[in-house]
Amino acid sequence: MLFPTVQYAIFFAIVLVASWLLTPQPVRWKLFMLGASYVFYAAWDPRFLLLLAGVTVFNQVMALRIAAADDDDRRRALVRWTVAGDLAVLGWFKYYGFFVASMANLLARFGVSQPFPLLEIVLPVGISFFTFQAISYVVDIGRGKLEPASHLDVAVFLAFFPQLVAGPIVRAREFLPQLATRAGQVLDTGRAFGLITAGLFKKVVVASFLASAIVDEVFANPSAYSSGEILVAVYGYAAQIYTDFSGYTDIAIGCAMLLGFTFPDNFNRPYAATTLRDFWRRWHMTLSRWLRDYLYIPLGGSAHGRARTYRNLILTMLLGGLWHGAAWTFVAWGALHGGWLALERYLEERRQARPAPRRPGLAPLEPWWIETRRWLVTFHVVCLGWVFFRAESFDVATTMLTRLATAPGPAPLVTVPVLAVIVATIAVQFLPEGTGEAIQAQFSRLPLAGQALALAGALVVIDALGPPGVAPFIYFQF
Amino acid sequence: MSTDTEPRAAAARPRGPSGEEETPPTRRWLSPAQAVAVLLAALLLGAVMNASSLAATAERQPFGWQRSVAVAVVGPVEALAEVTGLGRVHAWLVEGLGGWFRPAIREPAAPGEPTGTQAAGGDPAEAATAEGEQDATAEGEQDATADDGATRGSETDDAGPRRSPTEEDPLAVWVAGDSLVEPLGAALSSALEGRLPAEVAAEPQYSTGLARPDYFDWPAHAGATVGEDDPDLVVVMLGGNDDQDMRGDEVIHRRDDEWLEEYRGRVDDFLDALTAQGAEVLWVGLPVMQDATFDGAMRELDEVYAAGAEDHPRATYVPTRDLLADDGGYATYLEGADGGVERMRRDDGIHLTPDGGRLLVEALLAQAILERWAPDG
Repeated sequence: MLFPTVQYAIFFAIVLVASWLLTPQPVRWKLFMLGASYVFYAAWDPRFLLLLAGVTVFNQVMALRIAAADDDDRRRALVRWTVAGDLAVLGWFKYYGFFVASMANLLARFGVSQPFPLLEIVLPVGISFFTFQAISYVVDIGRGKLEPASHLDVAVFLAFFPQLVAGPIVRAREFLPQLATRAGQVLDTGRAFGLITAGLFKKVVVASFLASAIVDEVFANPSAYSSGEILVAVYGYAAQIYTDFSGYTDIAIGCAMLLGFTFPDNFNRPYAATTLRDFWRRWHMTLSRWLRDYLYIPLGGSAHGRARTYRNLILTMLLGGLWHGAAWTFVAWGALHGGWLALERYLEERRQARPAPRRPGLAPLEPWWIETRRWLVTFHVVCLGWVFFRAESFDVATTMLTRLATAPGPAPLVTVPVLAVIVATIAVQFLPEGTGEAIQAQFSRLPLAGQALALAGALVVIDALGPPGVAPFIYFQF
Repeated sequence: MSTDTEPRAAAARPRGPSGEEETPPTRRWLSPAQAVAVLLAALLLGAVMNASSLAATAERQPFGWQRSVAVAVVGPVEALAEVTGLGRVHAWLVEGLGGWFRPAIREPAAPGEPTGTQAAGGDPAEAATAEGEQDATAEGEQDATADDGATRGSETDDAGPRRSPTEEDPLAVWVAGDSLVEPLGAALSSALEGRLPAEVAAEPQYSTGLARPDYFDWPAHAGATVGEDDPDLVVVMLGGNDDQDMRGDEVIHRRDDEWLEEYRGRVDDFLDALTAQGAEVLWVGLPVMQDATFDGAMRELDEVYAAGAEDHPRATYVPTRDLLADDGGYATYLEGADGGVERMRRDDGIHLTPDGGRLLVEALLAQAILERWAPDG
């Protein structure tokens, strides 16, 4: 069940009403929420439920053993085994085929046939997200930052439908305490409704428009398009992936908020970043933070000298790349980001090692053109990464990049609406911080009828501008 | 989370102007009951205001009880929208912004409306021809040329001599179908490059098939496109969306015996429309699907395509079940066109990846095309 569908609207309305009616009875509420989340998940494929339930049981059993372990070595070993188990599940479902195929191609170069059979494995929706959330639970218990929660609480945490299939990646220690304090709340509905409306607009109107107006066609067959079209398709994809992904998680955060949960932010105007490091503090923030806490820091972070720091950055981003999908193009994307982050760090360290500024006493503010240059470089590094991220093969990516420079000609796909939507998507990110909050505050002060009217109006605008009859409603897979 | 209200609310305000002594905009928080009331009111009002589009969505669902319920529920909502005039805002927005924003979006035909005017998102050339085209003309053309097509058909029947495409007058190939054809266009152009002067126009029409002409009418669309572009060859691949009930005079259930008969009739009509101007058709069969039940259904449809194409003088059926499979079973990874092991299918267990498309083209389609149009090359 996807968010921008009529089905989900009906599902969510029913769940929301029932959820608040059941709130005075916490156990019933949890059972209900677990059931609702499983219904939501089973809408994809009921078989996936077994996996979700299995991951839940495994992590809870291990969590209890970790908490009961009496010495540090044993605790650490148990945490390692649990994480290895979670990663094995993820690896099996998501990477087995990729691994075997890559190995077969490598061995073929040496004339050796590969020993593993290619098996047919269905990839369960959301597996990358809920295994990462499970890891946050057991690792935090191992680190002594969290006590094991009740079975039911853990089951609700891992299955909670707003964040189940596409994040944000919520940490156990953020989520579990909120289960105990749901009663008697008031809700920041200005923010919740604002996020849901903005998310729907970004995903249904902007992302769908860019995908069908230029991005999908050019990435499907770049050799048929001119340099201008390819350039705009790359910018268009940058805008599309932002609006699509941030839109989806905005809806998730807003829905969770209406159910009484505060989720961490996931995007904060990422295309306004002036360094790649800055970008990663603004883009898919719950993933960056997860990678930092559960991968980069355990690898040693920046505590063991420069060479190790660069290695850890690159390794973290390579694995982060692979997390997005089982293909070498995602590895290339991760390598670019990791490599650039390391380079930025190196240049920054060199800059700071230099003698003090020649004109002491001046404010350390950079002139505007240096900031602008940094923004331009950062944005284009990110866009270069997106080419590999979106391309279905290295062939497509290299064709795109080659034709950027070698295919002059008319560009019929580059239209005024396409350019306007891309520019607007990026320009909005430069609005002063707090603009969105101010609008939400204005909205929240409307009388209730006015709020309902404004929301209904937004639904009409979104539906009228979106692709007619959002296809997934009927033919989900095509 | 807390049980107190305003003071804590302000403290929990997630983001705001930091550091400054500015007073943050005060916002009102609602009790859950108020929030639920606002949401439900907005959804109900939104449903009335969007009634026309909800009705279209309900109509387009596969026939069955869910569709019947949806249509029954939406009916009164639509009536309410009309009586109150609340439906006008939506219509006004679509009209007002229609010229600016919407045409780039693939627009399915309204039920019952011929699809010759369809703005095809898939292909700029197609979009240009579709602009302002009259359906009447397109269909008239189709009728008028039907005889001509038949004559030409018998002339070149059975792979007789075909024209030799040149750089000035390349082989015009139209790749048509549902989302399954998506990777075929690019694969075909690059496979033919340097071997045969050809111009490939690909047009995946998402979520379409032959089962629901009320959603997208392929024969009508084919008639219009063929009349306008006069391709030499049409490569067709579709069927993924067609495992559902159809409506003739009444609903024909997928499991009924007449269903296959009716479907076969539609395949024939589609082939007639495609070949009306003398084009040849390569009908690409459906590959093995990952889900066994779905695969069973697709295999049945595939047999209809094979029979339809084989009985048609200008069509050739290209089976893919053996090529895109491992020992007859579904295969995500296979040895590709270049000899390496590549991913051939997407995660959904249905669609082809670009490598899958390339394998299909290199192993089957390019061969078939070159044999016909470049026998010496």
